[in-house]
Amino acid sequence: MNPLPMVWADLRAMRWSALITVLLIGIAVAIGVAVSAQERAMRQASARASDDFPLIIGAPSSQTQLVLTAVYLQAEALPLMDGNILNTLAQDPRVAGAAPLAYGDIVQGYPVVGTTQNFVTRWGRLQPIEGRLFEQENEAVIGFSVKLALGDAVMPSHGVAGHAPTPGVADEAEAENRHEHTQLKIVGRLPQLNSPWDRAILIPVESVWETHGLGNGHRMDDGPLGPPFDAEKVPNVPAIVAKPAQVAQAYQLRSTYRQNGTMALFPAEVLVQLYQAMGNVKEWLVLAAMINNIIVFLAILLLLVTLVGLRRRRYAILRALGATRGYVACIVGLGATILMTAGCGVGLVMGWGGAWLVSHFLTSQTGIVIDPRPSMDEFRLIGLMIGIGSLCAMLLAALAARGEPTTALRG
Amino acid sequence: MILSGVSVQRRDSNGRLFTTLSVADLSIPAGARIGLAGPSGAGKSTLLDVMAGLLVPSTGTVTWGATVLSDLCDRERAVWRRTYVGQVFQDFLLIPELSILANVVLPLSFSQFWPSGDQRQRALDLIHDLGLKDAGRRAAVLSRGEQQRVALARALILRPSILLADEPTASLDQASAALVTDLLFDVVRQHQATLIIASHDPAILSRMDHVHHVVAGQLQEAS
Repeated sequence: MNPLPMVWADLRAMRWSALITVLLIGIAVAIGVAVSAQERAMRQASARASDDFPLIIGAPSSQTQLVLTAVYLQAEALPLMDGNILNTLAQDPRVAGAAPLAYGDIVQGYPVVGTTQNFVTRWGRLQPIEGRLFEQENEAVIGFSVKLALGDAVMPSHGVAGHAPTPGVADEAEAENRHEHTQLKIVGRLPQLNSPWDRAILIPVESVWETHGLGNGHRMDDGPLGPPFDAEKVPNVPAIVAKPAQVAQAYQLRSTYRQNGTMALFPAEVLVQLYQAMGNVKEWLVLAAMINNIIVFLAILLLLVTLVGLRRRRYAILRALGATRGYVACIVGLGATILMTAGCGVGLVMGWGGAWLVSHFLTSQTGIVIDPRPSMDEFRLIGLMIGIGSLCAMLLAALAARGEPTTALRG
Repeated sequence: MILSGVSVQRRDSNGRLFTTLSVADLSIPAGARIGLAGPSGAGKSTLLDVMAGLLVPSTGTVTWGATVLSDLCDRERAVWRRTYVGQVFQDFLLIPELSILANVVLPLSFSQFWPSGDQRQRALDLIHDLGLKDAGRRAAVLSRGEQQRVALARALILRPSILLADEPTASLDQASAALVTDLLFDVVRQHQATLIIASHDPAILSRMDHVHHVVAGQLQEAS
């Protein structure tokens, strides 16, 4: 048998209802898909962004804020800790490398981070894709997405509490707080890291200290940049990123630097807490989306039941012409399944599209490149929806096939 | 076809049984042209439904050759119906979204995926013979006379042995009714099919071999 001509005729007869049905199912499914894809993409992107920060040390305060500021460059004043810890770390055999991170200034809305060459290259892993690393206090290396050119000279401004700069935009607050005596020359550009550091301007930490009247951390004014720093002259720092020599020693270091006025943490442990919170929110959102889906499916089922009722005569004609109940059931079941499947397909595309739009927006706001990709999670959700839809279709089919055709046939 | 002791009973709103059709004995020879006359609601359509195997009588038997219809299950009756019976209805009952051709070959789709080349050609020949042009037109845009001709072609596509027509001209104007009646008799003669028509139309009934009157569910002697 071939139910397709009648399925086509049915869908054509109810084309507007069919279109609305597909859209309603699509929207319902898209919500679930978008929540799932978005949450996963954010988790992966934030984890990727923290890869270069094995251990972060800061003054005791909020662990979350330390991670948000040190890893994700969220502008917030952190309490300072003794800069001599840099020297202690430099002498610790368990530490392969340690670099200060000094924040607070901006250039055209881009955060300026004072650090060392070692950290700029992520301990040798990266090299500038244009130009070179900074070699003097007045030189800067820019992240991949910074809209400045090599050779540009810029003047940093002091970040002000409550001011939310827009990357690439030099606003009034920035103009009012300019460090008039500091000029930086752009000498290099880093490769894309898909993290907020793509929008950062990296300068020698000595430059940050000098700009704020704290000396340069060395005994001599024009000595070489970077460690070791002079124990008596090194200023306090908000954060240090340390690279343990071995994985096993990471836990020892964390333990060591969780006392005597410092706090040490793995970004992952803070992220896990955030993911847990995100996961809980996601679970509730997915649950809400599922309830939403069930309500929409029930509403559509009722709509289709009504349509099947209105078509009783049409199906009676088929029976009169020699169609079996199975043929009629097949038409109705197949038609409903096509609608449900089309709705799920539309929902999948809409969901991913929505997740992509939200990710694009979040990337523009945070600099963290969030790239939602299709995953089995969504296909499982769609499979579940199509399964439920097929069950509904079978109910409809049974409804359409039951009863004697004679009454319906005579109108 | 032989109907013997057939009755159809239904329940009224109080649950009491009443008889809507009673046929003591009716024998229809192959190739006969039988008319069913009688007032509306007398039971003509119910009798056609019984003959088509759409309605299983409460008592009695309907026999087609060696086959007792009431012994068949629902599916077997559907297969029997599409094998031996063609039906034409007062309201044509086409599928308006399908083309003329798709409507005509629709009964083939109950048992096979695509019509064979021969079947498709037969459908086109029928459409042509019945004076219809452009088999690709949708049924929804056809005139009533054209729709009834498509219904006739659909009824004949599987070369039925018996053609049941329920008020086939009641929804047509006089000119279309005359045309459809002529076509109906022509094609039945060509296909050597048995023709049973329920109608109020004296012009049709006058062309039948026998006319049975159905009054209050009772089949009366042929005239």
